[in-house]
Amino acid sequence: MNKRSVSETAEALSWRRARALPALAVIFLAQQASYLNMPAQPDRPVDHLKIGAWLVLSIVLLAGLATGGAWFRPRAVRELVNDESTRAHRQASLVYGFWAAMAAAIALYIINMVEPVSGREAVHVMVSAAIGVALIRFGMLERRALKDG
Amino acid sequence: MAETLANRLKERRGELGLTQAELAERVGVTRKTVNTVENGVFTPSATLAIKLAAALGVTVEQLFWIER
Repeated sequence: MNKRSVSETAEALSWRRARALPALAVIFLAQQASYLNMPAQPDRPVDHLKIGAWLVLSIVLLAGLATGGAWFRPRAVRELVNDESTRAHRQASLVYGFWAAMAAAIALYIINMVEPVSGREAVHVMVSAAIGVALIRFGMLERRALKDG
Repeated sequence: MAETLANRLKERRGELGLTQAELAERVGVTRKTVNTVENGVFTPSATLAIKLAAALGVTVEQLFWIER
């Protein structure tokens, strides 16, 4: 792969990622609606499957946020896609995710005074809020950076 | 009073007839990073500032300065 194609590939990947992230966040958060109807102690196989799917997707998205993704691309492309400004955007979005998790935790603490919240439900809400907010923020920062100029 | 890092990246790039993409390739970053530095949205690391100055044939002080 020559140098020109590395930068062109990185540019295209950056655009694709910036477009995909907010959409991915909306899909991820919208999916959470299906968990609201689930019993506090799920025992049906379909419930375990749903929770398993959520957990796998959450881990993949977290890994994407932590590393910047592009895992199956050549190292040169991966490094360029995760250059200095992208790393700064990722860090900023992870800070937003942290505060979203804290806000969710405080809200759950208050809700728990009125209605019991199970440990699984609490973890689910906190993790989903953190990932969703971080994805949206990362996507917004990337889109803004790519657009101007 | 807040301090901001101003630059004459765009001006110098224009003098040399370079596009953002060409400058980005010279310093090993994406066009997006050059764009955000030019617009003052992103404050580059010392390493990137030195690389940008070298690629544009000026000193870091000629390229960046602090505005109060």
